[in-house]
Amino acid sequence: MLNIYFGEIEGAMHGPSWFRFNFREEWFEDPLIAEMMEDIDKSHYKGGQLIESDVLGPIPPERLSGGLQTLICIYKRPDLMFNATSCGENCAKWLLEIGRRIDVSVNLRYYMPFDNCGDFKVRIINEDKKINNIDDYMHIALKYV
Amino acid sequence: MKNKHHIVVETERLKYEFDIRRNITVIQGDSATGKTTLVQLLETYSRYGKDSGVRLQSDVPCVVFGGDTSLWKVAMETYQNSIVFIDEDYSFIYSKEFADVIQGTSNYYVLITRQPLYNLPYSVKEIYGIRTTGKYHYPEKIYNEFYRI
Repeated sequence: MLNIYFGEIEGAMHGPSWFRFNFREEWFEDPLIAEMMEDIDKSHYKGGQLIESDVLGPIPPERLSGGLQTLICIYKRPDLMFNATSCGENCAKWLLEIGRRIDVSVNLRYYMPFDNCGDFKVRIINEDKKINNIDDYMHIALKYV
Repeated sequence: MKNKHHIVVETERLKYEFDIRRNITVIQGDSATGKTTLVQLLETYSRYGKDSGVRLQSDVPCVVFGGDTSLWKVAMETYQNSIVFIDEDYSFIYSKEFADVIQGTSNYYVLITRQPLYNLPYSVKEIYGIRTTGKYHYPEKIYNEFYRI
């Protein structure tokens, strides 16, 4: 499940910084990462440390967007909490998808809308409350951000 | 500093063209729209100038704050009549102290952040996203512009 802590919290990692010095090549062979990469960055993994971006041409993993780098960190290191504020609204459906597969905890410091993202179920850590509809989510989230 | 400033940042493959109208401009929006790339281009230009292959058109200096966070105050007070770009994840921009310091400077500020800036009096009209115009397939040149959110 996707667990969200709203507002500032000590120890939430900055995804792009963590990614830059810690990513592993084998992560890019994961089909979910390939899907996220195509959807968000319009890019495709070619092997080694080569990614082909429709926009930028051949790029190394360090030039993926900060949002995608953070999503990859959240997915591949569920033992850590990352600051998902680096993720734009186009990452929302992927955060939920990761949460459907594994338990992850993220920090959000802005209101990320999850409208039209399919089956919705998250736990708000601040209130230790599981919610499954967008209205409840909005009311709780806006108390904190 | 007053008035609108028209900025063009360009390489052989990328072009950003936009106006900065007020002392505080916020850029936010989806991931992978080119926010960080814009800052990296300006950073590269301020380090290597024209030799970098980045072309910058602006009637005032465009600078990027980067590096040691503890020096932000000195940096803001040192820049004068400039447009200061600050990439996301610098937490000092949310502080009351930052709001107080920049009110006393002559600069315009472009802040890249999704997090609300409760201490800063910025206009909702000056919140922008970046979008690509036209086709964007490598190796064609990519044109980016600001749009109001």
